[in-house]
Amino acid sequence: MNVTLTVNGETLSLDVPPSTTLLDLLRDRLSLHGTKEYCHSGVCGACTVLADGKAVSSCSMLAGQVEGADVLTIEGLTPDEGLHPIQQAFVDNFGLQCGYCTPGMILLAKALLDENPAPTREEIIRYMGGNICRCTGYAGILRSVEAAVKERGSWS
Amino acid sequence: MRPFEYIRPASVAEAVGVLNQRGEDAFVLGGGSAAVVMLRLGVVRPELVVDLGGIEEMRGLQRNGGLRIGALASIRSLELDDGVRAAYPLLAEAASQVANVRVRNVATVGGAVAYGEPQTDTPTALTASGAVVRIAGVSGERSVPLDGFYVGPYETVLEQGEIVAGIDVPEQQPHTGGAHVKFTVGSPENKPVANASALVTVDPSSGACTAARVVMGAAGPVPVVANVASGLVGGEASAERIKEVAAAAAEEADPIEDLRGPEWYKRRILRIVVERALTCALQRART
Repeated sequence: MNVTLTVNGETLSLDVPPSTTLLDLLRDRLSLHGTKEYCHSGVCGACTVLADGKAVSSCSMLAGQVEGADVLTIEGLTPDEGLHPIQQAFVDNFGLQCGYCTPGMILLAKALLDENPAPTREEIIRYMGGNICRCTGYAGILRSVEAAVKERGSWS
Repeated sequence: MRPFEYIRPASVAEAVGVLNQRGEDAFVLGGGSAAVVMLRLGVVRPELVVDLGGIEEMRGLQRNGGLRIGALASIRSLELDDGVRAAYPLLAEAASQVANVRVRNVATVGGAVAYGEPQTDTPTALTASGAVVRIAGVSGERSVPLDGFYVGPYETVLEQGEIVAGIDVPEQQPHTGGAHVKFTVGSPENKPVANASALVTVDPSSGACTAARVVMGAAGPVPVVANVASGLVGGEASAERIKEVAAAAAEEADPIEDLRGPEWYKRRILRIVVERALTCALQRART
């Protein structure tokens, strides 16, 4: 079947089997390997991407469901030079250890800050709590998001 | 994933038509957060996946005295909608506790209802709110109260070829308070060990309870209505009385032992969540 969608600003028309997930499409068809796969059940958040601005688990959506959608992955968030302010905040605040959960964490943080530019610590914990860091580096992640919130005025 | 055909009908009529024609070969997909996992695991092995996501008439939340929820309304929309938060805080509170924000963004209210999973929050709160399921089939629409919609775990009264088109929630009486209390062991999928929704109406002059409804989730094969809650009506619903009702409600439940605990433990948790839900609902009804 044919699916037309926008990925990181580029509109694509792809022929895929109907059983293709958005995650398969990103990783296997488009070689966008920044989006990780792990639990395959919408629990862990390693495969988090933004679809029409909303955080979703790309493992739990069929390609047909994102027909016409605007998808943003970690590759699309990263500027041509340097890092996005949220990425920089994670670097500056030791917000990652092994790095496997990091693309999902950063995109979830982007969704949070787009929805709520000044979240409280409680709100950050509640929103980000659904994504899992198996290194258990949550204190660093929380620090990173709080730092990104403080910097929020300097970017859009 | 095993291969399948895929269609995305544009109307309810088209969807039920193809479901009726293809019978057991077809599988319905709402938001996909449960359905795609079932497809991947091979729990279901359909020839055809019918994705309801493109049916415009099944979207949205409408206030018309009561609340008309389109089956495709996301759990997240129930959580965030200003009208729902003001008039049906119990539903918004329950929705806000489902899984994680990624799941809530795509999971649909109709899907949560039709899936019939016992370990979940939305059906508990909808049952407590007196919700009625609108079911569409080739021969038209019928309505079934949610209390009565479930036959067993993952089993509903839906016949072959029928889909959940929407859910209607009646208007709440003035001086009504609701609360949803969920207890988890902190496992990542955030499913409840047990939960309880309470909806209580009071007489503002005397403070006496005029209606009380409690529904327990993860407490049996289907959402369990605690009949004992009606015993609060007419009385002042003291803390002592609520404790007694909560203890009796836990005895009405039929929890199973699973990875979230043995039966005796779940009954103790049920007693606590029912007590907290009733206490909180009553406080909200009085303010």
